[in-house]
Amino acid sequence: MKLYKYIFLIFLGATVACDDLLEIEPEGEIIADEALQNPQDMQDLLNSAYDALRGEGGDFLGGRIQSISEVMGDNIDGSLNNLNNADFRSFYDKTTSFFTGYTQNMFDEPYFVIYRANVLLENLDVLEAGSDNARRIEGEAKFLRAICHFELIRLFAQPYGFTQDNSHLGVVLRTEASAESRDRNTVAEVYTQIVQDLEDAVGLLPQSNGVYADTWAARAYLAKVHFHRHDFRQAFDLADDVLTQGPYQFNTSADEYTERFSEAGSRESIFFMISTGVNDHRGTQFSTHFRSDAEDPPTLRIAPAFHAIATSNPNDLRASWYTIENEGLGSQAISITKFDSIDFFNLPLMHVTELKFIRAEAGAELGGAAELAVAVQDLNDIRGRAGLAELSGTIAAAVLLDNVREEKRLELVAEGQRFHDLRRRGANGENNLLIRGSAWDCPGMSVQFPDSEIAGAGGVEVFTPNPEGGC
Amino acid sequence: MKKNLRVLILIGSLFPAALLAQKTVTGKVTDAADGMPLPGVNILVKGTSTGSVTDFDGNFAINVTDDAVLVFSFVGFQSQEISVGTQSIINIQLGQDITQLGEIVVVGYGVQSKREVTGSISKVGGEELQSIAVPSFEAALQGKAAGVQVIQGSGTAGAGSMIRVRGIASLSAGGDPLYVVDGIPITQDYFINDNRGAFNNNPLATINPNDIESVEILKDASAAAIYGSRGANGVILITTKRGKTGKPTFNFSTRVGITQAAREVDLLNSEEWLQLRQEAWENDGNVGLAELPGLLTWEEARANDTDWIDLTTQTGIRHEYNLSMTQGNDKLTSYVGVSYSDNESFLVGNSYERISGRVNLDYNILDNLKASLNTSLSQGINNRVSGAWDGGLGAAMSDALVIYPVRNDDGSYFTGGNNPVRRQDLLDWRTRENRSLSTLTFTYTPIDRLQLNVSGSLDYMDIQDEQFEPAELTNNESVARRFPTWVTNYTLNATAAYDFNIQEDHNFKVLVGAEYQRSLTESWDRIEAFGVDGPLRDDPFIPDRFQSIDGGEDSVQVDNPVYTTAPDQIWTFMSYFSRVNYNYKDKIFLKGSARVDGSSRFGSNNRYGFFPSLGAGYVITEEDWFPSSDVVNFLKIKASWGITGNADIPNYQRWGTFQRREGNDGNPYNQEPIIFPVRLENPDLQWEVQRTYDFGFELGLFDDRITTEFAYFDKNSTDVLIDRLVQVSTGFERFFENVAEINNRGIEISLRTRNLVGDFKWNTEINASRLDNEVIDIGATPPDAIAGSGDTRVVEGMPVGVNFLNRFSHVDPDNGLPVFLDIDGNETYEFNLEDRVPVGSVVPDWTGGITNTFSYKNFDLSVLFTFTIGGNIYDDSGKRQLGVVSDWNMRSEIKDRWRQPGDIAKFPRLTTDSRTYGGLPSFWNLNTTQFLYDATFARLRNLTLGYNLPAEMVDRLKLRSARVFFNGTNLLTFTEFPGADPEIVRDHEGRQGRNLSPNVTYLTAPQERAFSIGLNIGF
Repeated sequence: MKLYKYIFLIFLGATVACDDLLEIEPEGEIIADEALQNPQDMQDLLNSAYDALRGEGGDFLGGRIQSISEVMGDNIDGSLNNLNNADFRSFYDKTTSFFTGYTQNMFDEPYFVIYRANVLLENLDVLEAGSDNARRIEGEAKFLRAICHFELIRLFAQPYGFTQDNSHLGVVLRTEASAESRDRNTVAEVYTQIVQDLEDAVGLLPQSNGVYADTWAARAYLAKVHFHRHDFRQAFDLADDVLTQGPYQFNTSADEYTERFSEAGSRESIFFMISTGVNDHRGTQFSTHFRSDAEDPPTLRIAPAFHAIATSNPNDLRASWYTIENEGLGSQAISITKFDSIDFFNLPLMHVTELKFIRAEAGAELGGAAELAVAVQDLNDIRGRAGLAELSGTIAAAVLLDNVREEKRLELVAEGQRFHDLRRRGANGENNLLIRGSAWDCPGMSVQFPDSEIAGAGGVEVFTPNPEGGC
Repeated sequence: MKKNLRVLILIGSLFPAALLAQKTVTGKVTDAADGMPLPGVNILVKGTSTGSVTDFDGNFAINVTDDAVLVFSFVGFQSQEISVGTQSIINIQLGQDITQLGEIVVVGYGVQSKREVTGSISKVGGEELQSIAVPSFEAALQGKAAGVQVIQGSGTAGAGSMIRVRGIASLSAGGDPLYVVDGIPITQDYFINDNRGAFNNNPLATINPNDIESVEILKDASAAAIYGSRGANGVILITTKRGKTGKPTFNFSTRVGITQAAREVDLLNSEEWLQLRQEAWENDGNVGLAELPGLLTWEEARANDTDWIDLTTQTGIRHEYNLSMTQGNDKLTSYVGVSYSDNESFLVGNSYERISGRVNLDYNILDNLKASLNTSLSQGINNRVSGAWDGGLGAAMSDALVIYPVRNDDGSYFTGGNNPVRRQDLLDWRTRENRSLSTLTFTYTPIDRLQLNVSGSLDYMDIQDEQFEPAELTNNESVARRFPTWVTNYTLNATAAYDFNIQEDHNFKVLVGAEYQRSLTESWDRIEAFGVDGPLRDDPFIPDRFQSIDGGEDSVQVDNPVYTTAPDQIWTFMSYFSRVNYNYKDKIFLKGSARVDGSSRFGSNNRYGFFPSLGAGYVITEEDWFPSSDVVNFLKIKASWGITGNADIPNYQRWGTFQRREGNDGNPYNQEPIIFPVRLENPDLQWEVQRTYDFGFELGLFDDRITTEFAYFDKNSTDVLIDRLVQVSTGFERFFENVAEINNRGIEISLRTRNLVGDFKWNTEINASRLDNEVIDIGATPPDAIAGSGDTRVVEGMPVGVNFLNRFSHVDPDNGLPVFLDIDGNETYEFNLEDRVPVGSVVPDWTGGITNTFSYKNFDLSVLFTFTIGGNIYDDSGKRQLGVVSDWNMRSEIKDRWRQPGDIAKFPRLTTDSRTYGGLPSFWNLNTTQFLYDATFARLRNLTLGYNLPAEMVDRLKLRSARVFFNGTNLLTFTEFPGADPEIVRDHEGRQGRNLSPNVTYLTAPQERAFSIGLNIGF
């Protein structure tokens, strides 16, 4: 029976090593249930939501979404020798599909921010109810959720006003941390939530909040959202509120042109992403796609037609923003120097100049004498800084409107504004507006959702993609 | 750790309880033919049921009285009887009984004679692996074993192969077989270095083929189920050489050779490319000269005709030296092997240098207690180059245009477009792997026929992937990067084996055992330093594994470190197993095994899996009633059933987690800490389960002049793990679930014939296997939710990795536009991604190999052809090399294109605007059946001509043996595939791509053609 004794001992030995050996919790990770224990955890999670705004390698607001908006607009050179990049080419041609790689990388990042914001909002009980801290964190979470939904809906749906009641499809609205697959919400629903979130944020956020969003940032964004909803009254009033009551000043000096994208940052920045070093560059894809001082011309170059406009007035200080290589040859390349000579900079996402443009255009749209006066002043401030003559205070509203729009195009080139302004105007009654020859509302103007959204939801039975092409 | 210690102590406490024996006779049984030890020899005291069995090294020990007569018997050998008398050591040699199939095979946790085997096991001897020049030993298995598809990765130095045992049964979990070296399931992660440089790490590259005694491939469940949860994709057992009894003998071998690309794609020259560009430009309605990429004028472009393939490839030099020693006496036998090789590939700057040493010792501490130590230490230095999408030859085949110069007029590198030479010259990239595999085993025989084994193993891997880009390359500051990984993988196991028989004819072997394995992977995502003078390996201040760079007590100062940490990866397996073999009169064999596996990867709901198997074999020719004839001398039928599993998924998938970063770790926002969600929880995650049936027979004809084996198998996998997309707006991208069901069935045939015997010998070995693979169920998952590289998908009713493509019909002769088929099969000019359909298959119908060996006097010649019949290759680069005219060079097939109305052409009118082709959204989307090719090919894989120096000359040189040989690899390829090479494993981003897209190429480097001459000396 010795045999059995040995077998018994072996088994005894083996079975002592029980289940504990198999219960391995991840090291260097935190189990989800234990992640949010105290206010610091909440703060750290909030910080990660800001972190994701840039996106991996700049894939979201770190330059990707702005670059795509520029390419879809009319500022970028689409000639063969320039736009070799296939993904940008799809955006340029308005032929994005669910395979377009740049969309895939860009689309997930805002939803990471939104998920983090939702987790924060669902765990506010970790914070002392009603405390400044609790109000601030709730406000920042709602602010971030709002601006992400806003960036998404402007690119992936037809603009506000495309249908009378905005019942056309927008993007999936996520207001809770849930893994549930869903179809898109209507544009009306998404904008309602954006406005609600920003209004809440305005009330919750403090007057100043370091490098993070404060109540003024929420107001400025709310102005921009209302502007895109063609609600010029609210846009004007909110912009006016920030510009007159807020702590941010218009920089009258042309130094602003170099300060806007600088290490120290612009004094005009109402909301910005801070870069702490070359390895932490929050505007990294602006540098990648636009910088003209590398050995070779950049990926994204300026359309000759726009360049002609931008340099038509030699007095305009901004006319010196451009360089040309191989001028006149088939291989001509025009680059913008806005992002040159600097390896990292703070990236303003909302600044005084943009807000002045919003106030000016909203004012011109409203057309009241008081609003017009403010609008003319705004425009003249900006023109004056660029070395241009002031416009007369008695200018007609329609002429003023054209001037504001042209100035905005010249001033904010390469910042990702133009395409959205064109679509907004199309949806606001300029039915025949064309963007590089294509109707403002042709289907391809809305970027197609990536397959991670469509197939991930369970395919077209669950999720309604955008119609493609037709531009 | 405490628990582990307790196990060790308990197991250790067994040893002092030794039994006292009457008289112990020890000895060794060897093969009379070659002096090799014979494991598994039955030793019986005549007239009793007392007996013993030799161990792996042929050693035995048995307790007897002086008057005993020992009967040594072993399948395939003639039995011998020896009277013990006063002897205490009996070393005997057994002569082969050539009328039986006498091969010994290694099985999990033991060895068996081939006759006893009820499952499907293929064995490949070490010498077969050593004769062929390949980047890594496993590639030499190609064409050697039925049912084992081996696709060599490419000719890149150190490249791994893709081995599929009886098809692909996993989707997102690893589909590679389990590799076990001397009993240790080794670390086999192909993605330790991600996909940097378009090259997946090869975990087998540091293994020295010259140390390998044999490789056994366990194919069916009956054989593999002893590895339970990890056997579903087959098991490859690698056994290293051991010492042989006798005075020290030495073997020295060396080979030198050259390597070239086996094939090359035919690209356009500068004038042809410019002509195409102009034609496309004019077709698009433009006038004048076409715009050119790279800021070049036409004059400049015309002046260049750069052959980038020529500049990125070379004739590589390879050389290799091996020295080994074996000796043995009563106490100690040893094998010591050292090896050095430096193999350049045909890619400029690419080489794999390996230095390795192995010591395998067996020491008889007591008559009934033996210690065995296996230990190897190796270092592989891979001088890396970019490939495929990352540059190098890949760039030469794509966007390094013939019109680009290498250098500008001023001597600086041209940078207006892709210039692979610049990167090749300036980038310093090296992956250094240190690896040690060690096992210590105690074998204790307390009483007759009971053998207790306790062993502990350590597999330690240290991989440092390092790049240095000087300022000239970055156009900014220089940057040095390191990607460090350390894997510590240890295994403890204990087994007990007992043999007994009842009424002489009923022989039983019982094995029980337990095994615990734990693996820890430590790594950093990256460490970077800017503005430094050279790679980090040259900087003494760079932290090593045990130091930190975050300002802790033992931290190290680096000028400007940027780093991102990665969480430690730990997994454990706890297993209990048992096997019973029954043998009735050497004619009926039954086997049953069972294993219980627990894995840390699964939650407590589904942590343990039960993996049983049954097998039966019946040697009909052993029956008296079987007519004795000259025709059939051996016939065995066998059948098996079993359940195996697969758990090869990333760790921690069952946990929902967050991760924290702070300090310099990954630059969190505003230098403040962040925590962020990583993944969703899935407590229900569980094993993939595979049920296998296997039927087969082994047949020997004409006195074994012809031997053949046949097997039919049916493997059904359920709860197959998929890492499916989740709707990304949820905030997550992927999620592991047990969803799919996959079936693989097929047949395997192998045939060995001795065509000519006598002075001129001619043997032929043929093996072939046919596979049918089908996805039975994929749940509600749409095709695009589980995708492989190059548009492969998983679709119900289709094989795994079916291509999912738009169908190209023809070119309209009237207007030169491509005509596609819509989803209903109607012709259309419109290109619509909704019209993609599952088509083709990356899984071939038949694969196999034919080896002919000839010998005459001192000459021998071996010729191996391998073949693949059926299946498809999808050339994912075709859409650019033969599609819209862009900034890629194109293949010469484009000459057959539409130019004017009436042209019947293969390719449509040229255009630079993708929208010309039916509104094609982007030239990246032109994934059509036009680039789906028949994968059929045959290849003269290996040719070896050897000459053994005559005995007199060998004697005069005071040697034991001497042999010179010539070897050629991939000498001829027969294929209709127009791309670089019909044998492909492209680079993959992860397990899923590897499973779904074995036969997809994307600028993948071709195989190498290698020639070498060598010398083997024994002294």
